[in-house]
Amino acid sequence: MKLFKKIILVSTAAVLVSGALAGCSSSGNKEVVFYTNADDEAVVAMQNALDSNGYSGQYIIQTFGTSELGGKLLAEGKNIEADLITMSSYYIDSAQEEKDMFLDLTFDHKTLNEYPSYYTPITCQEGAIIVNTEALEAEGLAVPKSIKDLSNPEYLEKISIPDITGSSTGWLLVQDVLSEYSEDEAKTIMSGILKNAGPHLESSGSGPIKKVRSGEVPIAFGLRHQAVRDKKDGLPIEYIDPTEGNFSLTESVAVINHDNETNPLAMEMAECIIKNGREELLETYPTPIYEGETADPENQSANPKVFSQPLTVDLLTEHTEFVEECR
Amino acid sequence: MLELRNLRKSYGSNQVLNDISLDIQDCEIVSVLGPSGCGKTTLLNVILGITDITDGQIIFNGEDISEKPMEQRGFNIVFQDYALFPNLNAYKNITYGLKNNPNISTQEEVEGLINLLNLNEHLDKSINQLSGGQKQRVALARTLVMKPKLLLLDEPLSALDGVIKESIKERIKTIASEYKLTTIIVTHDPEEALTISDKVLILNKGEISQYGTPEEIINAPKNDFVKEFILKQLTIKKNNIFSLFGGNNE
Amino acid sequence: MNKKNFEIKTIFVFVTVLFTLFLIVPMCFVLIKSVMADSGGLGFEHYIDVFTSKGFLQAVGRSFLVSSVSAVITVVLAFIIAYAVNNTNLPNPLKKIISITTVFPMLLPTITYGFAIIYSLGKKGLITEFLGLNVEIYGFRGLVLGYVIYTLPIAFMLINNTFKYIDKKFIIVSRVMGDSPLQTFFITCIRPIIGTLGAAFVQSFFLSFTDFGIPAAIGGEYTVVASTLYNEMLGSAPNFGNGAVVALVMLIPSILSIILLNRLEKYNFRYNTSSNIGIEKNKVRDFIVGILSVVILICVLSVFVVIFIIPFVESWPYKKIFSIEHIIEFFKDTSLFKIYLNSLLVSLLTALCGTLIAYGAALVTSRSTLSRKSKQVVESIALIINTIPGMVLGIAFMLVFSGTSLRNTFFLIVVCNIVHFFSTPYLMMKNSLSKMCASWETTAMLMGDNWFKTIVRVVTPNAKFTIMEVFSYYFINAMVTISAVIFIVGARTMVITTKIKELQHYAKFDDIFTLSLLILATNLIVKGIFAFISKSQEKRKEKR
Repeated sequence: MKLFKKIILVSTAAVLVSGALAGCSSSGNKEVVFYTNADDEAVVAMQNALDSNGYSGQYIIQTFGTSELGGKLLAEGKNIEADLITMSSYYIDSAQEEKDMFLDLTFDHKTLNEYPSYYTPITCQEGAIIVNTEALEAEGLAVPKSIKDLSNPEYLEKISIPDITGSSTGWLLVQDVLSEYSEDEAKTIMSGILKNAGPHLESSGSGPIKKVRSGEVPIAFGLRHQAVRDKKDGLPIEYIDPTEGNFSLTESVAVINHDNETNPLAMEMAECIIKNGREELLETYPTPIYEGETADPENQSANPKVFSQPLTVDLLTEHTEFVEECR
Repeated sequence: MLELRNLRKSYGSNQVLNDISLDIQDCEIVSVLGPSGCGKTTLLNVILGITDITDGQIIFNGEDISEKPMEQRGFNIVFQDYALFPNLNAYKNITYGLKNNPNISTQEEVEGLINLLNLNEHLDKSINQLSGGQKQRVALARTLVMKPKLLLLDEPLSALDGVIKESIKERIKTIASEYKLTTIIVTHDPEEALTISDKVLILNKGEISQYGTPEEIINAPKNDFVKEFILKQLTIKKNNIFSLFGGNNE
Repeated sequence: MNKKNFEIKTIFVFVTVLFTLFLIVPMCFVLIKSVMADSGGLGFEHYIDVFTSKGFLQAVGRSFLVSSVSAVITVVLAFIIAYAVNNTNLPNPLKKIISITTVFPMLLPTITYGFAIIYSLGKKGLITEFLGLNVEIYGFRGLVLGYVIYTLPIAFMLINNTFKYIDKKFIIVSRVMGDSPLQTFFITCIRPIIGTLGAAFVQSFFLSFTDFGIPAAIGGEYTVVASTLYNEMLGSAPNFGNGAVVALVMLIPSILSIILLNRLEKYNFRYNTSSNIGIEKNKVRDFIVGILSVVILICVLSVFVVIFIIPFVESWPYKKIFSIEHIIEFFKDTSLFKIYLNSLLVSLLTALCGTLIAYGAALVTSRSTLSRKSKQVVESIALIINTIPGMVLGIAFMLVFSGTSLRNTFFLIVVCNIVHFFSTPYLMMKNSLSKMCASWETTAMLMGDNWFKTIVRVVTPNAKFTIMEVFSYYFINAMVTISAVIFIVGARTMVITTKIKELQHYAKFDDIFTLSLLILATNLIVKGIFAFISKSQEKRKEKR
């Protein structure tokens, strides 16, 4: 009886305490909610920039897969919980066009290329073929030179690629295929690659390199900088710039227009990320974006390329349909 | 005095009690007897106040209490299953009502009751450790602490076996006379009804079949129902017991 | 009469309003959304869209296939284990260990199962390396394995419960009547539980069909209905209308399952007594069944070994050196620990409020004089909830409350959990309350109690074991659930399971497994506390 009463008391108290702990920050000044699809290294770099400039504890960061965050942007528009996002630029473009949901950036930033007024890039990422040299040797497979090589039947279930439906890294691979080959040829190649990937088709852009790292598969298509770093860390990883070219995507920072409820800190933080975060971001994403930035030669890909058409969600849908037809 | 005036109770078209009128004098023990489905439990619930009546009046000491809610009537009941609270020990069950009305019985009165019902050695026991007779006594004590103006007992002996049955019967009688309690006992057993009470009310299909002293019922059964269902049972029992003892004597 | 029942009527109204707002309205919203054309107005374009899309029917077919296959395997395995526990002369401690380990996976979220399987049976997995196996685990096989692990505890509990009440005397009777051992086995063992076996199959099927965690982790390109639903709502090109259609499609097998379950009730034998007569000696049988059970459980548990190892290894699978660096980092990361606190808060609130609501609802149906119609309302609420998968409820909440101030709040998550898991606690409470003596309230009222006092002084103390069970049921489920909350959590209200889904993107398995361990530890502590209370209460009772 007494014990029973005690447990009720204790659990009530526990609710109050954990409520107070969990809610202490959220009940006070509302933190800036920061949604990002960025990879771990970029998130860390941005956090470092924010924290060392006095914003520690004033924001909540939540990470998403590109497709999930993209879906959220297009579905929720201005209603989105986030105040600040970093996201694949083409998604921001499309979301702005459809939902008119971003504020113009109010701080100075001098980019090498021209970008819209409502976002500015934080990173530029390139695709490349990644291999696990140990696994490759163990399987006795040839080193692939091009994306086309990946469709070679000898690699059946030996490659892992990101799925375009879930990952924009997957799109980089599709751009390689579509820019270089005729439609029929592209179809054959893409079908071959999908067949070879089989169960190793990943919904996350960093999925394939994980599988290569763990030896699950010897070959993958993924982000070049990740492989560069793995190699530096002493893992048996090698990267190959495909003959079709290294296509790239930028991820950018943008501030949501919540009308009267817009948190003014969000714009400050966006500025802080660009002003103070780029240095660290450059370590992992070595492509220069802003004036005065230079690239480390080791991180310079062999043949950087840009797709002939502007990247938009519509184009992505078109390319996704192409991939669906190849399945 | 409890007066029932033309009581009627129906559920939809189903008439459960029909035109029940009778008087129960103070300090009387009255048994309500009848087969299952005759309406005796409904009558009990109606008097207690759990169930509303459809028609008629219940008058207690000159006051019409038909509309009075149960807890204001001042009656009390011991249910067939005793309804003891298993989370409390025997003593806490007995004194349960004192928490709400601390002055209703004094400490001496409670102790007197415990003595009368011979419960002294069982006070610390949990309900599950009590025998059927002990449970019955605890339930009685708990009810009596409340000093009811009218005591209702629902099949008080049905769950008990032979010898205990007789001793509880005696105790009920003692209590009724000692506390000057008007007591209504619901039972399906003619022997029980006729041996414990001052008056017996025989119900059949929701109507009064006969209402009178045990002697009147034995000697002047009013109708076939009383004869067939009440007296016949007793006669068979009587003959069985006689032949048993007669057989032994030979 | 009106005044008399004021309290219980208030509870009834509260329960009805709560479930109208947070169950009926959201579900209607899903229905409306599914028939609303994008251009406005009514139309079946979403239905056409969904049913003509290439992947959808395939996903439905796969869901049916993989759920059926795993349900069959689950039932067979659960039967063997239940048989070992109930019909053999294995030593009691062993039986106890078997029972407890079988239900162990329930303390972990399903999404963890998937990752545990990957790290156990994947190419560089623990078991793979250890045994030199080479099994493809992504897709069908992984899903089946995950579903079996997920549903085995529930199937076991169902079968075990029926087994317990089989009168063992009938085994003797059958033998005495000259039946062959095989006949005896069928007549006294299979026949009485055939209904339960069916129920276990349906239940396993339903759970597998509607689970989100396992396909999220290990489904790969093997798309099932649950993954389709997730993609329609939170994927790259969300289409809420199509999502609503998929949600309704997912509802169909759920409703069928419940109808089937109710039908299967009739096949259940009701033994009046269950005499505990000794079980026939048969060492061969005991040995075989015992070994089988132990092997099954070792297989299940071995999958989970990784979650105890990965967080303590420097870099799996390359640097297999013991290191507590991950753990230290984990606890340094205040944001992760805060998520743990969020989970704790949500689970405690769910357990507290959920228990109160289940208790209140059960009081209405089993200890009140309210009209039969009112009671039927509460009963149908419980029945409806039983048919609604968490994912569908989560989506319904997402559709209704997005854009309102309730969106992404702890309040909504807690309410969602309470509604989602309401059925079982309600039935547990109702069962316990209706078994109590019917005249307590009248008696207590005659002793001067008002309704509330009676509940506090008499009914609640006598229901406390059930209340504790309900509390821990709600707590543990709130702790491990992902299917509904994934659609309604926000950045400020992240819970552990949704964080695990988020961490999946970075394949931060040390964090994933550390969080899983936290869930496990918390659930074990809660279980432990309640076990301790029950034990000390029983001791106290014995002393009396």
